[in-house]
Amino acid sequence: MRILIAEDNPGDVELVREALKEYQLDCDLFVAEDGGEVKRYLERLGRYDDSPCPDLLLLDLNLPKAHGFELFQLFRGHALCKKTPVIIMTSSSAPKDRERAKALGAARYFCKPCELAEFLKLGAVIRSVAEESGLAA
Amino acid sequence: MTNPAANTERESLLLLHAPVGRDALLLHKLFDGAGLESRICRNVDELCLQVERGAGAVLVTEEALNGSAIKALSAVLRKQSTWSDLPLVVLTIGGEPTEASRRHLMQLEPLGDLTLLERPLRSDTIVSAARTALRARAKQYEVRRRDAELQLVTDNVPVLIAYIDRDQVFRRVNQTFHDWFGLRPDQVVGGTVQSIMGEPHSSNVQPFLTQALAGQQVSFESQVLDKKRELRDVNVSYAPDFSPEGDVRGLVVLVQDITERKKTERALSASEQQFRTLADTIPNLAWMANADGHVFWQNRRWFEYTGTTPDQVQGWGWQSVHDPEELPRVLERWRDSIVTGTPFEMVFPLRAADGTFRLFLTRVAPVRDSTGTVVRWFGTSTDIDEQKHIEEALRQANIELEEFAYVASHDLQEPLRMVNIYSQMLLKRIEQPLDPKLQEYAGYIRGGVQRMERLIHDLLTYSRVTHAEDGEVSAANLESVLEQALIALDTRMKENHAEVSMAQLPVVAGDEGQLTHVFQNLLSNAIKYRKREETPRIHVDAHRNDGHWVVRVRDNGIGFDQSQAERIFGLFKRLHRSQDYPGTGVGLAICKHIVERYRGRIWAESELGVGSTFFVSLPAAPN
Repeated sequence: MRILIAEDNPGDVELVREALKEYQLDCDLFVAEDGGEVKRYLERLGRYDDSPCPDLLLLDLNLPKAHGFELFQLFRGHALCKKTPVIIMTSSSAPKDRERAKALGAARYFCKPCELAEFLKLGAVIRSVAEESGLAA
Repeated sequence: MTNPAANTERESLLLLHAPVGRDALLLHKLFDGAGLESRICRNVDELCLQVERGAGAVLVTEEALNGSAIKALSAVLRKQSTWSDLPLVVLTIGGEPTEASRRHLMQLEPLGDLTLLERPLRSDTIVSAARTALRARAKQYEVRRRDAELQLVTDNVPVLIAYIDRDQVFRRVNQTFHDWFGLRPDQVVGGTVQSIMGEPHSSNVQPFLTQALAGQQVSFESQVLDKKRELRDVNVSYAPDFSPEGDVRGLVVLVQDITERKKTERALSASEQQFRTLADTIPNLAWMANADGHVFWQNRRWFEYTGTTPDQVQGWGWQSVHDPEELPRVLERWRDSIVTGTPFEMVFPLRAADGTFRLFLTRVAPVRDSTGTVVRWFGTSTDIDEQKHIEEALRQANIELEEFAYVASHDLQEPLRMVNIYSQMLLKRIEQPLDPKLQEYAGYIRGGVQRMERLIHDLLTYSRVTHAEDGEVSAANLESVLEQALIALDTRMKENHAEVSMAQLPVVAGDEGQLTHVFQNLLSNAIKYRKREETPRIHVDAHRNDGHWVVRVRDNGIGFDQSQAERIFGLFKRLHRSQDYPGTGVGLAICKHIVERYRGRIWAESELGVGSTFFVSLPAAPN
């Protein structure tokens, strides 16, 4: 499974890797560290080997250069990503962000927890989304 | 002559005087047969007496009119009022009258309506002559009645009414007129304007009299002395009386006492002067308009600020100092107020003399008369430009502060999350056997992080509460407020076996959601600061104090020193170490903010080791 992760905090990227490991999910991670990198990835998507079509987008909302929701719309607008599941992964618990995510069709809204054990449950979330979308882990 | 109106039956009475033979009796019978009432007078004295009492006509035989009789009758007739011309029918002795007898009779001619009938006469001639005389007399009485009515009407008008002829001589005046001067009617009638009305009036009126006598109706104000020799203000009008040929033969004069009105006018003018002096010294722009919105006055400040002149801006010319963009809105609202008579209040810019615009708060109130009709508008415009800028700056600062607090708390939480999670990761990676010291250190890291998280969380709440727009004030039922608070605290109540009792609680002016926050905090504190060995018991009740309800939350907890009662409502102010009682010192500060936002008050009374009582005073809900 190929996961594109838009996250500027390397600590959180590392935690995502831990979570995948915890749930024995074998994934290729493609990391974009800001809005610009996400956009570049989408431009190259399907045309270059370093930008393969992802099976899942893990999207932080508070990113440098572009807001997560703007990237969400760009992602959905791409011909190859119309049905690709998106998991929002953010430290914001604001109701308006949750509502926006739901309106845009996010598969899950994962509020980054402060406890390690809780964070690692992200692995379970990814697995259930993958199963719903019929992806082989 | 007696009042003819009082005995109208005498108006058609024929008085007969025929002392020789049976003439009188025969005449009486003759008239009786013709339906005419007559009365026989046996002598001249009786005749004169009856004439004085009133009569329709007198019928007398020539032979009764000797020298003394004519003298007596003349005296009576001379006393007649101007309207009266008593018909006198004399039955003369037949045959050619002598020059002497004719002269004798003709003495009566200028005194009465004399008719001579020569005997012998046919009876129908006598009756016909009597009827003619009575008819003429009836007309005189009718004129007399009309005149009396007219006099009655004019006498009762509180205006001096007079008729003067071309020579400015009074011909007729009403009662009010002679009462004014304290004179009898006959002392006025015949007198001239100058002699009766005196100075300064007489000199004042000459040009007007000349004008009126030339055929113009005139009206003017003057001053006339009254019977107390007091000078009074009067309004005089002259209406010319034209003859059928179109000549002015006299004037109807109306004089109205306007002293009181003048006094009021002078007082008004003095108070108006005071008002304008005051209006010119205030720093606001002030103005007045008629009921229809026509501006007729602006104060000095108005002209100073706008650099205009009255000619440019009175009426509806003030529009020139308005911002053309805003003007249609202002006009629409102002016209609406004029139509509906409702006060006007609006904020709009006005152009200063230097061409710059400043914001003004304009308020206009209708001034009504005793019947409630709007008679004018009084407006003030207050410069609020500075105030508006400060308000805007403050609002902006509040928005920025809120954004800052929001962003700061989230951005502060992020590194904390990293510290917490990676300290856990570190522990996880360090393989067994685990050093107990490492566990202890990790515990401190986690404790610090958790405390920091709570602080950030509470600080965020505090910033939201204190910077939120003013909450909606509605009727908040404290029963449901407490119910909500207890639901939120359910788990902690059960854990602590807390007992809460509640009296009946009122409805206050506030917001239920916000007040739930307050009472949840107070109840939560009451549970937190419990005595270890005692069941926490909390009682909530309320009593009315004027327009407020005072709600009490009383507990049997550990209490605190009364000297700390004010301090505990300060931000981050705590009385205990967080190891003993966790907390950030934000809760009560939030409560204070919310309560004060709804114009309430919060305070506490406590005794160490006995318990605490928190009081929340809130305005009662309007009915």
